[in-house]
Amino acid sequence: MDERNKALLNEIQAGFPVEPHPYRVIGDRIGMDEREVLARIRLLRKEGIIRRFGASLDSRRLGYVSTLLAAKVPPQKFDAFVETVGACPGVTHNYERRHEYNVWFTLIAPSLAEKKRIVEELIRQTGVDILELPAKRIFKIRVDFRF
Amino acid sequence: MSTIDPDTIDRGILAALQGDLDDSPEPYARIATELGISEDEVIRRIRRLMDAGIIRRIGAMIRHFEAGIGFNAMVVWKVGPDRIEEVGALFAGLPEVTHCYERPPFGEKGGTLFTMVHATTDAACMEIVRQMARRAAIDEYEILFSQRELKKISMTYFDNEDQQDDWVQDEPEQNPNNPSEGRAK
Repeated sequence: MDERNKALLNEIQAGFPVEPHPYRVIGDRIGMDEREVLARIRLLRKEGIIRRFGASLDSRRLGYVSTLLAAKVPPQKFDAFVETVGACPGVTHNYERRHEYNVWFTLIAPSLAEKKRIVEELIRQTGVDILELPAKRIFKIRVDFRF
Repeated sequence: MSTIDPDTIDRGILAALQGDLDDSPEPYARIATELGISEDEVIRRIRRLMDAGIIRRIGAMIRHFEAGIGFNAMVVWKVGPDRIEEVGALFAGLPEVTHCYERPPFGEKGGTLFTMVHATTDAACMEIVRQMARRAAIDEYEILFSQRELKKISMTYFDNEDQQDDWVQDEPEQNPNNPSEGRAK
């Protein structure tokens, strides 16, 4: 990735200007004109480096609940488990990890009751027990990466 | 931070912003046109939703596997209740740490402080973790390296209650003989 893209990515992950010409403001900060900023963002989107360009909303302030879930999934059930969990719309992140608990995923649901129902449903459908580790305290959620 | 209850127009703005911002030079004007309000009002309302903490940030969500910082490790630290506040704040202050939470005890060590560390290689992750252990003077921790990203999406709010009902109803029953013996704690 070239230096200009790195500078751009460092600038556009948070604090995107809320004013009529945001791309021009970004360009002014890093010495690019508006057109170059837009062209580079389009390309980064096309390449898949930018997954989405928009707002990150606070699920709790919208009344939603989120949790972290982990499971020890045996090899013969792995693909089916990943497919079932992946099809659930409230599951936003899912990672395979090198550990006895080999699948870790996050779930966002509109209420506690709904969250409980979804987790029970996942257990029932997959036949795999699921451990729930909801946050008790949040010290940091930062989603911008430095380049 | 003010608290507000988003009205219909706010919800329209949030629905637009949870997708992709238009990549024309004036993206907020585009939202204004769609909602039939002025650009000024869109901007004023977005700022208010940010002040209220409903919008956490606006910007690019990075697919970090593609961006070359694909390695992440979840590290679970065993920290006594007397030190959790101090160590949580210390780790939260490190740029390599993207997430830091206190959670229920996990695993054999019963660690309760969970951090996510991002780096370009496993070795680089390890080095960061070693430094964290040294700085916090904690020697009991467990590292769970990412092997594969299986799913990463942004949540869709407001209209997903119906979707979730559909999802449950549409799924075939895969394990009719294996009802939920395990129960999420």
